[in-house]
Amino acid sequence: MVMRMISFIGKRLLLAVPTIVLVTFLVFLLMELSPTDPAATLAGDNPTPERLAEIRAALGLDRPFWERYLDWGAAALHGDFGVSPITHQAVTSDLMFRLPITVSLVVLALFFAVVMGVVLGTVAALNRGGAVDWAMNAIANILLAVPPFVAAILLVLFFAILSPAFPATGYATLSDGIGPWLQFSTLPALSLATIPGALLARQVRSALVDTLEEDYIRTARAKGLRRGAIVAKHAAKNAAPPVVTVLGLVLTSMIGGAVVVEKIFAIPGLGSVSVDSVLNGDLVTLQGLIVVVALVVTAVNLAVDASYGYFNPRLRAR
Amino acid sequence: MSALETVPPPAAADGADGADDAVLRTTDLTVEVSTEHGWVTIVDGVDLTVGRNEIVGLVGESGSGKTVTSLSVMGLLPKNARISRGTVDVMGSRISALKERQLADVRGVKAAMIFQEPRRCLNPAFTVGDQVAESLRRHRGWSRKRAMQHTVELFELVEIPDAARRVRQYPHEFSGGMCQRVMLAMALACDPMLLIADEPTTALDVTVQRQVLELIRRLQGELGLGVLLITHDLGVVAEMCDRVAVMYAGQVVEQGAADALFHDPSHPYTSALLQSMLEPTRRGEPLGFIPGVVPPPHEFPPTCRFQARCAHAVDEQCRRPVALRELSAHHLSRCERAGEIDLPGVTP
Repeated sequence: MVMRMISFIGKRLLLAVPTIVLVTFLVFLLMELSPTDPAATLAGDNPTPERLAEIRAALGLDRPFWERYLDWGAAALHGDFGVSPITHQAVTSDLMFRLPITVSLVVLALFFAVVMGVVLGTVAALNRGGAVDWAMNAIANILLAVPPFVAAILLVLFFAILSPAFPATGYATLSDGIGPWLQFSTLPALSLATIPGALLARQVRSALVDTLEEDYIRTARAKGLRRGAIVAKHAAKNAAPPVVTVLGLVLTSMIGGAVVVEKIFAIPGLGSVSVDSVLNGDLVTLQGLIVVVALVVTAVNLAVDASYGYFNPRLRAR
Repeated sequence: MSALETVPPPAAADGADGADDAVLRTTDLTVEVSTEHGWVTIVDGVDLTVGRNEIVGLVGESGSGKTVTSLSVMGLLPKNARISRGTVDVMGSRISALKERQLADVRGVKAAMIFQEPRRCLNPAFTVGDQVAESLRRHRGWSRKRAMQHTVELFELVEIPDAARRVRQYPHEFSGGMCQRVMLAMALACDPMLLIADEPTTALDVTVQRQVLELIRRLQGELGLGVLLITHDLGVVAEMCDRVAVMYAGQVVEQGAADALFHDPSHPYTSALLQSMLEPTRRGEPLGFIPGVVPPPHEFPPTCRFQARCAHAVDEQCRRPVALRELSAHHLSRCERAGEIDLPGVTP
């Protein structure tokens, strides 16, 4: 059982390698084709052609595309994404400082989304066809219509300005303590969680409604189990796979949402750095950033796939 | 345990079958279901008793109400159905008066049920052993370990080979017949006195059917169970049952000892069912059939409900509701013309 799991994960990791390589290549190609010229950005206003050529040579931009890609790839394999010509910082250490900030934000947002989704979805499923079901559906629809930037503005307005329970901007890392971190992270996480929460609620509801119709639910009732135990044990485990699938999708889309939310709340995470590096034409940082995000997304997908075997024993035999 | 207070046995109007002996007694059980035609009666005034140590067959075509009757005995009616009249008593508990929470304490302890399509009745996400042990942990408060040990014994009781290993397997690793054995182990885990078996072998291979039926009969005898066996297969009834109730369109139309009912049926419907049975002794004769279908519940006629399909119907007599009446000791029929017409049965 454990061996099978390890070999499954190993295989999936091997399959992830070409994906990552392809992503980096496409990103490199896209940068090559983009009109942004890092040399022009660095050179300031009205540079002479000689000055531009000098900067290009210093950055290695005068070398052929393949050569630069392979060089970058070799360094990246050693965990070195280069030095940003704009900020003059080592990209790897910059990203490693910001990664935990975004991850902790996304994890908190995911927690809110799951609580919202499971509560709304389960209550709706247990009252299917009734007024409560209808109300839960209405709440989910409203949440679905609130993108993170609108949610962020509304949350700041109500919970930071009109009743100042939370700070409007700023950040404290987890190492500053759970309390301060929660103070600064709750509103951003909530604004990230609205749409995912609504999506999860719908998925939980439909998966539970289907599962509760199954014959084995009647068996569980026939042996005298209580309703709570039936839903929490027998129905939940069978309803989980489609919910976990959506959870994976939602999690990766949250990383995109973090770009906007981190900017609004002035959180120094990966989202902020992505906006800054795009605006500054900082291709080196962007490159590294995309690889990190691709790795995170791959890991999430792997975790989702690995969970199917837990929920559905029939899949384990293969 | 106040919910499970023993109710006095109902006034023994039919005193002959001894009230204290009954593990199941329904009195005037009437079930309604909510449809687009409003609340419609689908089971109408069913009086049924199952005593200790006997197998009672409940027979009828699809749509006759036999499954609904059995579900109401377990308090498992779907949300859109309700008991509108009458009572159900299982081992002294008035099931029909209990709330869902109280019902959950009775199910599996006093009465247990197995179903058609055993494989779909087991949860694919948990081991079979866990699903059987769950009942013991719920009702007896046993630890996981103790419940599992007893589950192995239960698996041996229902003749699952290699029990200690198989308790840890999942339903998809079991054949249909083995799944039904697991269901039986689950049903019998907490020593109920009433077992309801709703078409327990219908979805199984013919050879496996026989094994499962023999197992049910052996366990019934050893444990002294009262069994309510629901089936449309008269062959199964002939082999298994002490007494039989035949249902048609939500009513019991004939009830009596299995032998008497088979050899000398007193309702045209029973007789017609028997004639439509495949029997080696009647090889070469044309197989009987009953024209038409059971009417849907909202079209149950106020007359004799079988009249439209009956070969023996005559106008005046059969154009009014017919009551179940006792022809001889313990033999009841709902036919107005019972006794005056000669109905073929099967030869012993």
